[in-house]
Amino acid sequence: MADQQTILEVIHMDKNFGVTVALNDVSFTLERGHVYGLIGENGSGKSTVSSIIAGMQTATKGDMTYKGQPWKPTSMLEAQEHGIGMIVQEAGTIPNITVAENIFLGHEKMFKKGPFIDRAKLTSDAQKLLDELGIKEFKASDRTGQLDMQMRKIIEIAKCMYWKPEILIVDETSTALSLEGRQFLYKVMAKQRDENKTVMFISHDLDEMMEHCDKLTVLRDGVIIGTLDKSEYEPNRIRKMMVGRELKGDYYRSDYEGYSDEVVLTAKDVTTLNDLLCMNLELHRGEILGIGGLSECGMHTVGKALFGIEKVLDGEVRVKDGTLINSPRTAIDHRMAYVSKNRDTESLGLSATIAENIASTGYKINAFFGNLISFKKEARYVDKQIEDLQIKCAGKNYMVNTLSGGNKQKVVFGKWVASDAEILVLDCPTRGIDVGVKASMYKLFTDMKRSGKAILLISEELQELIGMCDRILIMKDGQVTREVMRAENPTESSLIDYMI
Amino acid sequence: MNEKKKANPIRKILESRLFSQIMPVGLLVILTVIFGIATKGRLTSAASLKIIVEQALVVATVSTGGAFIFASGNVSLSLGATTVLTATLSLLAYNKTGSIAVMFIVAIGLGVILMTVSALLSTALGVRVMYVTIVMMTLLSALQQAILGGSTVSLPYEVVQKLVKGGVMYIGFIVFFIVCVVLFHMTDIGRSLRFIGTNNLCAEQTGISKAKYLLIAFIIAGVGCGIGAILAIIRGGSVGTSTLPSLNMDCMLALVLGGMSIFGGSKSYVYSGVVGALTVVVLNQGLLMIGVDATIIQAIRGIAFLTLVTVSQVRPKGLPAPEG
Repeated sequence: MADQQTILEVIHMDKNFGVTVALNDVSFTLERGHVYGLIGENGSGKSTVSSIIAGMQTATKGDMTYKGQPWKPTSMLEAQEHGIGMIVQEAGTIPNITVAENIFLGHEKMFKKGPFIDRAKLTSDAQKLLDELGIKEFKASDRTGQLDMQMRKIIEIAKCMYWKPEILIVDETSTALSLEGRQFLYKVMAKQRDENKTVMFISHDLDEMMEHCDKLTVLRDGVIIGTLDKSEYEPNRIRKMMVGRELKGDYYRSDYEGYSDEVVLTAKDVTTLNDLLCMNLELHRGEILGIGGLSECGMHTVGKALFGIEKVLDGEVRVKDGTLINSPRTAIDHRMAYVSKNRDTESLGLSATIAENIASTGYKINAFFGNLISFKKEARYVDKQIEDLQIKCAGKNYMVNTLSGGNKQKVVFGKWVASDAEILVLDCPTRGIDVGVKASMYKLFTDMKRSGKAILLISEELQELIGMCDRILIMKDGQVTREVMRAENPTESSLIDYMI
Repeated sequence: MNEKKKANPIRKILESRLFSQIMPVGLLVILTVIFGIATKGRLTSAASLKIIVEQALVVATVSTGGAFIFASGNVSLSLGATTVLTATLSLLAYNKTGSIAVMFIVAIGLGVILMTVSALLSTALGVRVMYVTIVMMTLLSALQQAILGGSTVSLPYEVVQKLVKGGVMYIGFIVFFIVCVVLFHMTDIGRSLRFIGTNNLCAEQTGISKAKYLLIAFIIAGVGCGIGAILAIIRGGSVGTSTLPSLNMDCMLALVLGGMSIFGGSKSYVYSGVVGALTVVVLNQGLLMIGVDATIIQAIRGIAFLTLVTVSQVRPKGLPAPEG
C-alpha cells in the first residue's frame, strides 16, 4: 500500500529511441505538496521521463504507480482527465483558432448542444477560467495567432490549469516567458503546492530552480545522479552533478581585450515594416556586440534585417566592401551567418539528417570540378563539426529530431562554423540549453572573437550580454537608445534602467 | 562522437536509410515472383520482361525528371499532360519537316518551355505548384484536343523501326537517367531541392533560393517530359487524345512505390521513378494476365497509392524529439 503522501512512483524505467538510450533504470517518488525540480544537460532525459508520466509516449521498460494504482497513460488527454497536466516545451497552441478553442481543444464534446458545439458557452467558460487565474492581457474570444509567443504560453498554462491537475509538469516553459510571465507561472506553481498538490518543474535556469523547487533531482545521460534537498543546494555542486566535471560559475569572458577599428558590417537608418525605425549600428572585426531590450523593442528583427531576411524599407545594410545585403544569399556569399531564435522552425531541417543539415552550408565549399560535390570533402566537413562541437548523436546519418535541444543547437552552429563565416548574427543562441553546452558555446564565441570574427549577439539574458559582449546596444521602440561599453562594467540593474 | 550503446540490431536495420532504399527493389522482386508463379511463368518469360521494360521506360523517364519537383515537397499534376501535348506537337513538327532532329528539338524544347511556364506562374504569383499544375493539366489537355480533334497523328512505320533498331529508347532513357543521378545526388541541385522539401524556411535562411531551384527542377522535369514524349512516340507510333491517359498518376505511383516520400525532403531518391515504374508495370501486367478487370486494376493502383502515402506519413518509431 502506497504512502498517502506519495502521489506518483516511477520504478526502474528505461526508454530507448532506436539505438539511443534516453532513460536507464530511472526510479523516483513524487509526494504531495512539493515542487520538484528536474535538472540536467540537454539530452539527459528530463523531458522524456516527464512526457512518459504525462502520456505523450510510453516507456520501453519499467512501471509507474499513480495514487497507489498502476499508471500507464496512452495519451495526454487521458493523463489530463486523471489529473496529470503538462505544459510542453514546444509551442502547444494552434494559431488559427480562438484562445477559448485552444483551451478546450480535444474536449469540445463537453459543449455539445445537439449536433452543434455551443461556442458561446465554450467562450464564456474559458473567459471564467482566465478571470480566475487573473489573466487580463487577452480575452477568451481573441484569435490565438494575434498573440505573441509569451501570451500563447500563458494560454497553455491556463489550459492545463482548467483540469485542476494533481501533478502539474512544467517543461522548459519559463524560457519563453518574460519576467511578468515567469512571475505568473511561479504564482501558479506556489498555489499548486499550497493546495497539497505536486509540481514537476524542468528548467535550465539554475537560479530559478533553486529558488522555486523544494527538491532537485539531477539526471545525466538518462541516469539519476542524485536528489538534493533545498538545504543542500550549491550551484557549483549541482553543475558538477549535471555535467560530471567541475564547472565554475564564471564561464563568461573575463578579459577586456577590445576589438579592431575595422567596421565589417554597417546598418544605416534601417527601417522595416514592423519593429525597426531608423536603426543604426556598426559591427567591428573581433567584436562581440550585444543587443538587448525589453520584449517588443525590435531586437529580434535586427538579426533578420541584417541578414537580408526581413525587407528593409528604408536605409541600408552593407558589409566591409560596400556590398548591399538584401538577401540571405548575398549575406552568405559575404561570409555572414545567422542563427535564428526559432531553432526548430527556421534553423534546422528536423527530418533531415545531422550530416545533411551541416552540409547545407557547404555545397560550394565541398565542390570540385564545377558543381560536383566531393563526398570525401563533405564527410570531413561534417565529421569535423561533430567532433569539434562534441555533438552527442548515434551517428551523423540520424535525423536531427532525434537530438536533444542543446545538440540541435550545436548542429545549427556546426553548419555555420563549418562555412567559416566571418560575421555571425546570433539571436538568443543559448536559449533553452544547459550550462555545460552554454559554457562550451561561450568558449567558442570567445575563440571566434580572438580569431577576428565579428559576432552580433542578440540576447534576452542580461548576464550573458554583460559577461560576453564588448559593447551592448540597448534598444527601445525599434531604435538603439543607448550604448554601453564593457569597460563600464554594467550591471543588470543599470541595463534594465536603460531599457525602461 | 559520443555514441550511446544498447542498439537493437533488428530495429537498427529497419530504421536505416539503406533499408528504405533496398525495400522498393525487394517489393519489385517479390511482385515479379508472385505474378510469375500466378501466371505460370508467362510474366517472367523473356518476351514479357522485354515488354515490361519498354512499357516502363516512358513512366521511368518522366518520373525521374519529376522526382526533382517532388523532392522539393511540391506535387506536379501536369507531367502527363505536358508529355502528351509535347508528343503531339513534336510529331506534327516531324510531319511538317520530315526531320527527326527537329522532332527531338521540338520535344525537348517544348517540354522545357511548358514546365518553365508552370514554375514561373507558381513563383511569380506565389501560388502552390499543385494548383498551378492542375490548371496547366486542364489547359494542355484541352489544347491537345483542340489540335487533334478526334484524329491521331502518326510517325511513319519505317522511321519508327529505324529509331527502335537504333536503340533510341534505351539510349535516351539511360543518358537522361545518368545525368539526373549526377545532378540529384552529386551536385547542389538535388541537395538544395531536398533541403527545401525538408524545411523551406530554413533552406531560405541557409541561402538556398526556392524560386531558383524550383525553376531548375521544372526545367529538368521538362527535359524528362520531352524525352518521355519521344519514347512514347517510338513505342506507340502515333499519338491521340487517348494516349497515356494515366501517365501522371503512374508517375506519382511509381515515385512512391520506388521509395520516395510524396512530401519530398531528405528521403528522396532519383532512381525511385525507375524502380517504381517497373513495379507499376509489373503490377498492371500481372493483374491483367491473371484476368483482373481493368477497372479493378485502377482501383488497386489507387488503393496502393493512398496506402503508401499514408504509410509515408507515419513517423518512424525511433524518431520522436526526446528533448532534454
